[in-house]
Amino acid sequence: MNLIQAKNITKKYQTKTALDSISIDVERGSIFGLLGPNGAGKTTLIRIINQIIAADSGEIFFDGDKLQPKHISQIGYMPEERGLYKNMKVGEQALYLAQLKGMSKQDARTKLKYWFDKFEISTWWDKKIQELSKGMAQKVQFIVTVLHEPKLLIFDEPFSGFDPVNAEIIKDEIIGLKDKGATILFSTHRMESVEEMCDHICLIDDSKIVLDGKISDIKRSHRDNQYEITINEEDFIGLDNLKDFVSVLSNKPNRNFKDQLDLTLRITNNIVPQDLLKSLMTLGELHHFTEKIPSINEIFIKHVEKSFE
Amino acid sequence: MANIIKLIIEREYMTKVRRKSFVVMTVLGPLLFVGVFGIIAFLASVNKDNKTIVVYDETSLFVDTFKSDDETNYIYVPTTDIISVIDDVKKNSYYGIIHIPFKYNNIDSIASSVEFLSDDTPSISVTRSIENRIKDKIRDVKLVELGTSSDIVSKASVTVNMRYVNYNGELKNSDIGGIQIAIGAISGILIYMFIFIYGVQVMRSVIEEKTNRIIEVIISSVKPFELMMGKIIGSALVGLTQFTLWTIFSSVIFSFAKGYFGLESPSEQMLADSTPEINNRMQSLLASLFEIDFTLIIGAFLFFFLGGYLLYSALFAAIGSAVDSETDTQQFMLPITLPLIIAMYSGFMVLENPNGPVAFWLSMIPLTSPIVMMARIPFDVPTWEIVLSMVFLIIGFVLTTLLAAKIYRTGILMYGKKPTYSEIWKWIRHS
Repeated sequence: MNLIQAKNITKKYQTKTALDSISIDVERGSIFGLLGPNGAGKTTLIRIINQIIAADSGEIFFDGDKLQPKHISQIGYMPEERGLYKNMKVGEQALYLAQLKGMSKQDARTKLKYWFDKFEISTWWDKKIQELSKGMAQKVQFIVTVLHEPKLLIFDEPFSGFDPVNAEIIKDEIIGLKDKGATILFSTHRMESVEEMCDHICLIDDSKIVLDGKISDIKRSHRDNQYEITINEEDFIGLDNLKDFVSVLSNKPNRNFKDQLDLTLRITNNIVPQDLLKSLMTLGELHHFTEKIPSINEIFIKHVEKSFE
Repeated sequence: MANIIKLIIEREYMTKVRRKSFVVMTVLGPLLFVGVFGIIAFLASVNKDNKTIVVYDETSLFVDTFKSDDETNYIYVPTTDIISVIDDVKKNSYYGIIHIPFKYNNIDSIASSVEFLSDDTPSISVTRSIENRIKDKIRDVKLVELGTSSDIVSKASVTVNMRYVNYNGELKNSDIGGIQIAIGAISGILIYMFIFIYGVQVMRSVIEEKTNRIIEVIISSVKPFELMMGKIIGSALVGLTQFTLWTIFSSVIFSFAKGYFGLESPSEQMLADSTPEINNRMQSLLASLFEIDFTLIIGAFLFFFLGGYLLYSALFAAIGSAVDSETDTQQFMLPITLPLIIAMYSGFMVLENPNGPVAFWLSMIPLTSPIVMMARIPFDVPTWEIVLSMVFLIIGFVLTTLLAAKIYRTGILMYGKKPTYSEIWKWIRHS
């Protein structure tokens, strides 16, 4: 069952098309990664789901219902450009923003206490935002986003501005929220976090979807019969015997052992990995053998470059 | 929705009221007001400083023409030596000398050879008053010379007190003009100040949310229109609070100052002085105060005060949303400040001719009506005009708010380059 279903969303600005008939399905309880180069239309789509701006055409369903203002309280949104009132106290501000999302003051206070204790920031309650560092303010922003326990959480570049330690904390929190049943949609440039966290990705480029699917499916479909192996240098010559079905794509000396070579091979379609492995074992010592599965980063670059051509 | 707007109003109100600048202005405002008032009063009293004028009358015809009063003290000196009189006047820094030469008491030559001696140029009111007295005296003397008995001449002198009556035959008080002008001018100026100070505050608050980038978080929870209205109403309440506090503080300070300097309120003082003339004047002043419809004025003031503010602050909010920083606002401020300034300056014209065409039209146009109509209202404006002007103001407010909301909705999400007027026009058309 999908929590968000967007059908043929189109949004044009005066001079350019930001979204050209985009459709996405965000499965309940999953982490959905929205990827794409700058200016691809990610933020526009996120703003439309947040009902900040209206689409020119197309419709969005939230939990089966047509998206309406009443759904606002079930969405938590952390925009890319973070911001809080600089001269307002942290606690007061968090209470205000929580109430805008429809929480009662009492409820907000209890939940804030939980999160402030969890992040060990209870002493910040009476501080003004301008007294906090950027990273500290980001934590407050994160809490404010998730406080009302929305069904859908939208993060636009959630890790930008966090140092690695805090980025890790936030990552774990996001995964924790998913485990509790929240659905998460986030856009990012950080491919390693996509790899680690996302169940499903959608790559938007130049206002169109160029790739969409479960990470596992995408990776499977991008397998290219490539294998990474490490052999002794003197055995390299033997690869010549296999040239009918194996081509060498790259050849580098091993970082640790000068007498070993790291190779990337591609096999033709008519053979299976077992055949390759058997043949390699006849060459001599085989130190390493693994199928090379393209990283999301490589897939991303490949697709974006393709559209540039 | 009502609840959300209440929250926004509350935040806007609380953050502004707690600000140091609000506290400082609330305390300093009345002090400044009383201070300015005090300086004006002081200057007026300095200006009124008793003048001493020496009368050097060689003709002895004007023995009782110059009578000392509150403002001027006349000293008659023996006509022996004008040089020593001049020395004397200089030594005592008197105001000047009226020199009436003998001329064999030929009235016509006296009239043409009277002199006023002083180092500084005397004020027009002083010379005019002296001339009038001499003229009256000379005319009397001439009448006697021409054969009228001096008895008749003195019986023929009259004082004219013109009454001011409207077409229905109701008596108007002659003092009322001054009081009306004062009320009209003060309420016009107050509305002008309020619109400017609090309108700009709304604009700043919009810019603040935009540059803080909190705007996107907020409008993912509330509608931009709700946010804009919450801000405007919140600021209006801050303004009303400040205004109320000012009124209270000012009256406290006034009564304190009165007690401290041992001043009595004018009516008591006047009554104590009890010259019948002053007494009459005081009574007529009081009477004219009673003639003014204060319920109408206060009611209209509150209406135009709030109406004008709401209309303009919607526009100020739109400007704030279109720019990234306050320095970029200049270009867009002009079309808003221009009608305000026109209203303010034409206000003087309106006070002079409160029912003229300029006054009428400017008090109908919503951009100028809050100031101009307030300046007119103390002068018995027909009810239908007031009602019409109010209706136009309400319509004007609704239209400008709708327009401003369109600009606001698009503007708050625009960063980077400053928009041009044509871009803003596109925002209005496309949203």
